[in-house]
Amino acid sequence: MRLDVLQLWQHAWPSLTLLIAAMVSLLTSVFPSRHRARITAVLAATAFLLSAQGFFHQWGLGEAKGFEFLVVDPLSNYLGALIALIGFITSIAAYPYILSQAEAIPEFFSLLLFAAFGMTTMVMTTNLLAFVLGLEIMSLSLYVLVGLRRYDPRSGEAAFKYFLLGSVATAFLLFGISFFYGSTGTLDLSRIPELLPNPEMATLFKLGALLILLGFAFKVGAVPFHFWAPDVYDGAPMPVTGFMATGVKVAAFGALIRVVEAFAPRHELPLQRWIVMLSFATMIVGNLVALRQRHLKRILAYSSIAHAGYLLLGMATLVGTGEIRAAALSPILFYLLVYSLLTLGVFSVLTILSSGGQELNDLKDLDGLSEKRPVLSAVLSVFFISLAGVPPTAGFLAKYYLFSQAIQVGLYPLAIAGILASAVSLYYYLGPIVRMYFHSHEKTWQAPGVMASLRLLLALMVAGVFYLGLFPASTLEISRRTVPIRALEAPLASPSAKLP
Amino acid sequence: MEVDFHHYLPLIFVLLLGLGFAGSFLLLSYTFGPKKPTASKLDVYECGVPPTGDARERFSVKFFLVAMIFLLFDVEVVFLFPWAVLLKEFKAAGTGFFAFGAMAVFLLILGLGLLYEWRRGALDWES
Amino acid sequence: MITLNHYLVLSAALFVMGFAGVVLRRNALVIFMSIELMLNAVNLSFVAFSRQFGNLDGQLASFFVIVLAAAEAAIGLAIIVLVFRRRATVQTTALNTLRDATNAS
Repeated sequence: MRLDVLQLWQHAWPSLTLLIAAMVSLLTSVFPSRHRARITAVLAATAFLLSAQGFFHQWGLGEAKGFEFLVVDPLSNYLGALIALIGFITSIAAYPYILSQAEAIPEFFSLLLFAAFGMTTMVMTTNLLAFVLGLEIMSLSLYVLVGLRRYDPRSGEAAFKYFLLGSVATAFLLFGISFFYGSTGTLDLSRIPELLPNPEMATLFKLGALLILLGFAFKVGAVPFHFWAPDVYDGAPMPVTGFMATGVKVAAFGALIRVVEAFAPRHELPLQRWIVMLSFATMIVGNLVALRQRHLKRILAYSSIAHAGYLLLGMATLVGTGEIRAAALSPILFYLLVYSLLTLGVFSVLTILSSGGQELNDLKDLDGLSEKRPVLSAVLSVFFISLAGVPPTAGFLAKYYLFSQAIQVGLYPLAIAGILASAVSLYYYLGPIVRMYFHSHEKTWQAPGVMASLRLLLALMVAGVFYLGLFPASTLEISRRTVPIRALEAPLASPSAKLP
Repeated sequence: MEVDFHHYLPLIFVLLLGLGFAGSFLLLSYTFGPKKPTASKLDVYECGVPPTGDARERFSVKFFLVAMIFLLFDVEVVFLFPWAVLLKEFKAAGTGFFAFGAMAVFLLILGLGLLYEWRRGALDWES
Repeated sequence: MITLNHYLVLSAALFVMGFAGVVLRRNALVIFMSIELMLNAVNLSFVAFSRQFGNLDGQLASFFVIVLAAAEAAIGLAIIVLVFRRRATVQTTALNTLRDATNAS
């Protein structure tokens, strides 16, 4: 048993580092010191970087076996590294923002670490119970993070709404898991292939899968379970919104890959039809409603809903191939990377602009920004244009791979809807740019200077947008090698096998 | 598995008997007892002290805080029970130290939570 | 004779009642209690299945759900107190600052 503990540490240390750093920073934050915020921020950034490095290192080692709850394979390590990087960028971008708040809140960074730990747990398991625990660690930290601006009623309202709807979604997810357990006798997704179909339990199994999918649809903000997202994004503090829009998506889609991987061979589930419907509705509604928004954060909320739709299209492709193959998975992983980079880029700039103590919100707040902050405006424009999918940026390639894969497996209507929807999206992504460059500024507000580390980070991110857009080969290769080996080993239930 | 419900018959009988007695005495005193209501008789009984204010008044937020803290630490005990029951078996299987260590880590984390709470002043009533 | 189905029907009924409470009630605390009811329905079905299989995973799950519900309760109460301090009400209808402001430019 002693050996087991060592082995656990050896393979899970990148994730556990986040947990330990979270607890340490929680404790350091209570000892009175003028530098509390700085200490916890440095601690968090270091831990995130260390963890990302660790995940990347483990990624190269391949799969480690022999754990009951823990899955350490290239997929979990890829997603873990992505989550840790998201946390790193968020903690750097948020530091001046946190200092600018009426009460600088050192707990911000430990909550960020806790949430990231929950996210990594979600992607590092096939056991549904462990998954739910990770999900709850993430969600509970996020409920608090959303309500962090205690003196701002909007923040409290957002936290309240997120909490209520989030707990209802968790209850549905858990109910689905209990049905899954009831129909299979196990909580482990990876054991599905070895189970014999049980005709008595077919309905229960189907219902369980449906409820689980419903819980996921809520967490990723898929239409028609998206209604919480705009309100919560709107009321949450700016860096938290960015963290939610990226981290939660990566974690939830990462876990969804495992669920889809487990359910896809069970042909009695109309899995593809469900996901196609969700994707269709999400892409259309997300993009169309975004057109009518006046608030920057709401536009970005609907944009993130729309991107969830594109990712669901990828998921539908994954089911369509019948088996999990690098060909279907790598566009999703690449898209998650690019989406996170672009969205975090947008939110980092908006966080800088909100660091004057005043939360940027209305689209009008951007009027004439290019005269006052030309560099920031240019950077923000790059990220917006790339989100819309304009070549030669990363956003274009990510969409291109996703849609072409869908066409290859014959999902024509869905791919066409996706292409049309992203053409529409150009309009609302250009809106803020037009505001920055072609409107005269009325608003006189102070956004502080940008720290050197953040400047460097933003420069790197902009470079990344073009690097991924022009030279995607090496990054694509990484995502291509990130195939869950487990899935390839699992025998596929052939369609001729007896269905429940 | 079949449950023999007739084993429970005496219990139900006692239950009905008790209900019948209590109910009939309440009914009897209600019908035949003299009723002379006065202000002090109708008043809320609060241990013989004249009541002050309304029972539906707002409680201090401090109570909520204490309730939350109590709830958390109370429910975590749920993990201690199965652990305590099974510890001897773990010991017999030679993994006693592992089981003990696992619980020690869990309690350490809880202790850190308590330390945090204490330092943040959540346990001070006056402030 | 009480079978698995009895437990499942009870569990489903509790879950539906809880969900109805969430949808229909306007008091934040009552909604909150309804969510707890839903989680307890989940617990019941976990334990019922666990007994059916003679497999302890379900009971383990219900332990974790209990703790999870407590953690949710603590955070939920904190958030409700936070909202109450600002608005002096726990009616959800009062929470309408955040909405799609499409016609107000």
